[in-house]
Amino acid sequence: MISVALPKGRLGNKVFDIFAKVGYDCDEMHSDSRQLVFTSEENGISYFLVKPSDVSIYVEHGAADIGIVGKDILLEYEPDVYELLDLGIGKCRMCVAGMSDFKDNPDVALRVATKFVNIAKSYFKSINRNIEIIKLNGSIELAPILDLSDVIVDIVETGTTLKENNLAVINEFLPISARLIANKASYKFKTEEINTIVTKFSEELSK
Amino acid sequence: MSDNLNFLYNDELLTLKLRKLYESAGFKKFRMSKFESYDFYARNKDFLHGQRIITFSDLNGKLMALKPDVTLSIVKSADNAAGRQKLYYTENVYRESKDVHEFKEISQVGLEVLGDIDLYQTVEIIILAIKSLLEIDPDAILDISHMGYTEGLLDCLTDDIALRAELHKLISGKNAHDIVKLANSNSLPMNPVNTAIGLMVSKNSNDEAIADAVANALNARMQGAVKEISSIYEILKAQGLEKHIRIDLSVTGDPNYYNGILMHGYIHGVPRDVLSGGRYDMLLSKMGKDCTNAMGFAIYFDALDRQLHKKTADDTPVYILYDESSDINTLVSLTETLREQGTFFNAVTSLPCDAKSKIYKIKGNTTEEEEL
Repeated sequence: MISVALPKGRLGNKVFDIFAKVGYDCDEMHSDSRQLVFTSEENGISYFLVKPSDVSIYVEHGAADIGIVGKDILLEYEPDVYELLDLGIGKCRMCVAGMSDFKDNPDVALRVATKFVNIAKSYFKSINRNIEIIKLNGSIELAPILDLSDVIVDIVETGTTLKENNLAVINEFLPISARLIANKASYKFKTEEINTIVTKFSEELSK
Repeated sequence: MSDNLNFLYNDELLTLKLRKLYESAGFKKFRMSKFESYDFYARNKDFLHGQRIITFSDLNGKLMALKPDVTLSIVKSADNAAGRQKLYYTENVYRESKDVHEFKEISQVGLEVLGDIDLYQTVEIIILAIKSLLEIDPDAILDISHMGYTEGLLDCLTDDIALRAELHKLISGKNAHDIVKLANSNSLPMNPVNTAIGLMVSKNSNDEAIADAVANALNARMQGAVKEISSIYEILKAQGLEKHIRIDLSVTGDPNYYNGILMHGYIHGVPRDVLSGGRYDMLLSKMGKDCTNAMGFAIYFDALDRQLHKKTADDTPVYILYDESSDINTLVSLTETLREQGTFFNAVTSLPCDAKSKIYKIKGNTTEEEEL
């Protein structure tokens, strides 16, 4: 039995559809029940849906053998897991954005609001820019509007929210996509089962 | 004899079993004090992977540290003139717990061999690592790798230290897709990149892993590494240990310290490695020691905690219930008899709510037995 941590939401649904297509369907997942864990004994798989940023925690701590998670989460939290496949779906970009009339003043520390503290720190370190981090947990776009920060570092999918709020992308520095990760110990004991899933996934995705 | 050890907790029992295993192979117990001069760790902070250390001032104002590691202390005390030293330890170390951002006391058991390490010594250490794991889980797996193979492969790719570190991380994370991206953006030669990707693919058997490694060895360093790992594997196979071994050359370690065989042990029910170790000649030369080789491993009891405490020590003693009316001589006679028999007992005036065992009730000078 392989346990899979899926991110709640659009990406999770999309990934489950692929699982179902390649032979890991689970009837319980199609029902509208309030169940938290969905198991298909015949296909040897069980799924649970968790907050996207928690997927890597479930996998690293062995509660799930494998999981699907965005590269942003992997870079931010650096969990000790195997990253076996780039699914090439759930694509977006990690960007620096600011008010559309923003002009950088290199003499003062740049105030950066973000959920992704480590990613932001390492990006600005790589370009030798002195910054102050303001850690926020949501509605990041509000920070430059209220002058809480000069810029934000966040994920941009379509850019619509930015535009509607008179914000603009200053720099795209990291492409993001969904990755299939595995717990290191689970991989030792369930190598074949996990590799079969990886192979079937990459075949399906390359169609 | 074994019945009399029922009171031991599993971690205590495991420590004793491991001590017996190591003592029986000629290893001597290494004893050390709980603290060391802070300077010593500051000089070797790379080896500790940036671990925070608990420091305090001694009576002369000198900055001291509670030990975060045992290997460094063993290497420091290595006596060059003493020839080969085979040491084991059961010690507590003090490290930062990343999860809760607090210091933790961690119990560690391990062994080190310092001095000339030949093929036999290497095999003995690996066998002891496997046997140690088997004391915990009969289906345990020991990953075996060789730093020489990945380092040799990286020699074919780049000299850039930062890029090598990035490649190390990707190879040990089995991240083939990002290696391709990194190779493209840095114009790395594709042949060694493909070898790196091939390393990450799990093989159906150890023989296949070795055959693949032989076929893809691109330079003398890689050839030397695969030759060593292959001869070790043949010996372990002859001893019927192959099902507990996984040859996985994508496993890497810190190249500043490790230079040969690398080991990581896994057991069911624990999400991370519970044993790790390898050959670390580089640490010796960094610390200015004359002895040429060093190899060892440590078992992390903090990772095993939950697993070992699933089964608790025999905690259902016989209860003796007494009150003010009980004859004290009858009570003491009974406890002495039980002690003589080796039965565990607890004399109480009221029963705990979870009591499930036999009870002796002392009423006056008579004793009544009752099963719960």
